[in-house]
Amino acid sequence: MNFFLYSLAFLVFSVFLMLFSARLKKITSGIFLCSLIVGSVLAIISAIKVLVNQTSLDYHAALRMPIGEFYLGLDALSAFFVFTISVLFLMSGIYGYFYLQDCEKKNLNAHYSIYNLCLVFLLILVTAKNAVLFLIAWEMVTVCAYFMIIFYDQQKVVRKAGYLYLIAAHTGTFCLFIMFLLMQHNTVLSGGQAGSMNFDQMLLTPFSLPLAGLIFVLAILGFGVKTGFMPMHIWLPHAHPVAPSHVSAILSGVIIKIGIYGLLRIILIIKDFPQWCAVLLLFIGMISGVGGVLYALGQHEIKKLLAYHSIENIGIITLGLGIGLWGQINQNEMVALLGYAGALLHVFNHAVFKGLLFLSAGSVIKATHTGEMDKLGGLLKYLPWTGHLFLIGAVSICGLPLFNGFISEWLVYRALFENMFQFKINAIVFCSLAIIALSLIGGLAIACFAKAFGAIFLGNSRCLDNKQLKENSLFIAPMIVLGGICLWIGLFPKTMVSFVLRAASVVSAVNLSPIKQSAIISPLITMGFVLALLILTIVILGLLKKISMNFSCTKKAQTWGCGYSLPTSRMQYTASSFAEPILRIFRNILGFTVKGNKPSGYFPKEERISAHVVEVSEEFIFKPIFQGIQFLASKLKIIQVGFVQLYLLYIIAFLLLLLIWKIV
Amino acid sequence: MWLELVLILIIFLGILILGNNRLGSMIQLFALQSLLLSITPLLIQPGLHAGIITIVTILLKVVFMPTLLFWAIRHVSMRWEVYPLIGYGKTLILCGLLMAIAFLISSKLDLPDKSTSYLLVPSAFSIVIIGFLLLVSRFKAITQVIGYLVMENGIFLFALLLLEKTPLLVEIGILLDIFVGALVMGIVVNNINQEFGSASTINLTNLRD
Repeated sequence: MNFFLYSLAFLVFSVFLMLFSARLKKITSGIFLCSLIVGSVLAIISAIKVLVNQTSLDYHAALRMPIGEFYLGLDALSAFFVFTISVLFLMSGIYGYFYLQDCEKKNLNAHYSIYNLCLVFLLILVTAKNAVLFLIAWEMVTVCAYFMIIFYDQQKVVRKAGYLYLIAAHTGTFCLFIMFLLMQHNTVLSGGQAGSMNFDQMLLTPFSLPLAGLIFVLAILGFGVKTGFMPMHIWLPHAHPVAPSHVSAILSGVIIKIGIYGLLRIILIIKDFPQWCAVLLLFIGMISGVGGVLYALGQHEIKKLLAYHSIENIGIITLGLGIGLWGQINQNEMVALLGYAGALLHVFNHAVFKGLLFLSAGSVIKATHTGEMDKLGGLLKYLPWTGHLFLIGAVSICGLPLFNGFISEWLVYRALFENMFQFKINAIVFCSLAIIALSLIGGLAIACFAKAFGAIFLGNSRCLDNKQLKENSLFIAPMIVLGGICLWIGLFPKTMVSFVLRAASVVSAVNLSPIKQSAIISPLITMGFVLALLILTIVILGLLKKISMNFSCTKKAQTWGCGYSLPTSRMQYTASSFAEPILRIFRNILGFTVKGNKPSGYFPKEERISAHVVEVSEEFIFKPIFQGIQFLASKLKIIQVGFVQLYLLYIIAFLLLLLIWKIV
Repeated sequence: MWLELVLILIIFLGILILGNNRLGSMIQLFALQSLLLSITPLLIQPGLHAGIITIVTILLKVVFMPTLLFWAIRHVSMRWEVYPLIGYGKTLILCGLLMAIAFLISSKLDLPDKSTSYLLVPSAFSIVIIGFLLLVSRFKAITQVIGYLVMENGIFLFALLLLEKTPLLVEIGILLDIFVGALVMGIVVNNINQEFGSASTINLTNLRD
């Protein structure tokens, strides 16, 4: 615990130091880099210690806050999230340090200190053992993230996106307030220590099933807005593209995950849920997963596409959570363990590969100054490191073998199958639905990243002159580390899987015996071995082919030349046309529209064609609601006349009413 | 017996202020009401504590504030409250109704100390309500100030319930608040007059969407 507290103290100290040394830009950025590295490494050490020793540590500060208390605890679940957060913050921070070097005009010191402050409150958030402290940290993270999103605040679209994010996050927090008050009230009802907001005390009291259901729905609403469950995700696709790339990486990798942490914490505290909660989670997972990847297919901007993929991955995580909860409710320990472990590992994996993808997208944008996929192309030759690292991230996010996404998705799949073989009708129906959804997600994700990678890195440039592009080698180092983690988990999953199993056993309150652990891990290792053999064979065959090709004559031509004598880069397959057949199948769900006509005849005239996807929940759910609220609010303006006398009358009428109501 | 008489007189003076449309006599009536008010502590509990409060109240509410208000109406040269928001007759009827409610409420209130007088709480309520009515129904800034002061008189009566329990310092502090409040309002009245050429709050409606 000491390491963790030192890390917090160090980071807080650095925040103040950076604010006060604003004039000395060189020194400040040095402080930022040092404090970030030291702080997050200390946090990582403390987390690993807890995960390895399987102990949990508590820290009770002597200072009393007005309503809550400063009570931190590191159990396996918290430690796992501390680990995830620190790793990604460290890498994105180093990247951001180099990324923002040319933004001389901006107030970088403020950005750096807010970045560290955000890390501090995230660490407090995932270790808080008191509901009030939790909420304070939750709000502070929201505010810090807001200031990081609006880094380029001279543009109107950025300010608008930040505003949307702020509103969405606060709406969610409202539900959280009610939820924690209900939980506290329950403690009072069952005769516990009156009005305790401590998680430990909440843990000891039993919750009745209907109350647990109500709390669960509030948790879904409150945490779901931040996390981006499908109908409530509207802020994500707006906020991610406008933020600087390293901020998008932590936004997508960490900040939306704290909602998942919150859900897990609630599940840990309440334990007994009605069955429909698990079904609800499964359905949310399916909708978010499939919906997220479908919308991603329809995007033309790289960071917006990645933002929708975050929703898709949240869907996969939620599927894992749902099946874990199902197992927990039905006392099926294996399913519970596998489901939660899959969800947790995917949390970490998504943080790593989505971080990697956003950072490489940032590298592309920095080099070319655009994120529009239909303007890019052929970058692999000029940005080789970025391109190959993007490929690693893409393969991982698609859940292909040898990379980390495969391991976590395999755990979720296994939980689903394990539950299906209980041979109960409910389990078979829902699990097979979830399996179908999961495989659909996997397939569509591959299509989507084939499109993204193909359009950006392969072929020829569509608009820009690629020759002058240069790769900034300083960016690359953090990305290489992230890519390495992807490969490490994919090839040697044992360490991380045993970590997440410990966290999962804390959540599901299942005793983790070595037999269960080896039953889960040993197939993974065997499978990895088989796959490694397969890959080895493919590599050998590829080498053989290359050697044999050397003997025959080969002719080099332009990419996508298609046998024309004078091909231009405009003849290439575009990203939109690549996605079009799939989008056409789902056009009713997506509101997919194509404007313009295809050219016809032997001598076609000039034609323009463009395809768009309509965001259904934004257009058809939230817009009408907000318009309705605005309409009602404008009706309420009648009472605001401007006469002081009338306002006084309102006051006296209200006071009298209160008095009479109190007495009668 | 004397206390009840004084309280009833205070209420009557309040009603007279409400029904009056000449600013000068309103201020005079207010001064008279304050004089009666300031001797109530002596009637409830004669002693040094009550004596000090009486003297300070007389100085502030009977001498200083009426002087300030007279200076203000001379300065902005206005005599009449011509167009009230609610007519005089209607205000008086409303006042009667609200006083009935005040008496009803006070009969149900659960008070810690009932020994002083059964009329004290209802009359305090009534004075507060009269002050409020003045605030709500009149436009002129001076009338607003008077309404505010009348309301404060009602609160003063309420505070008499706790006469021996509150330290002297607190009460002096409250009186100081009123003093500053009245001073600020006097300045505001002057400024409204300079800005708009009349001291009517009807001009102050710009602060809305």
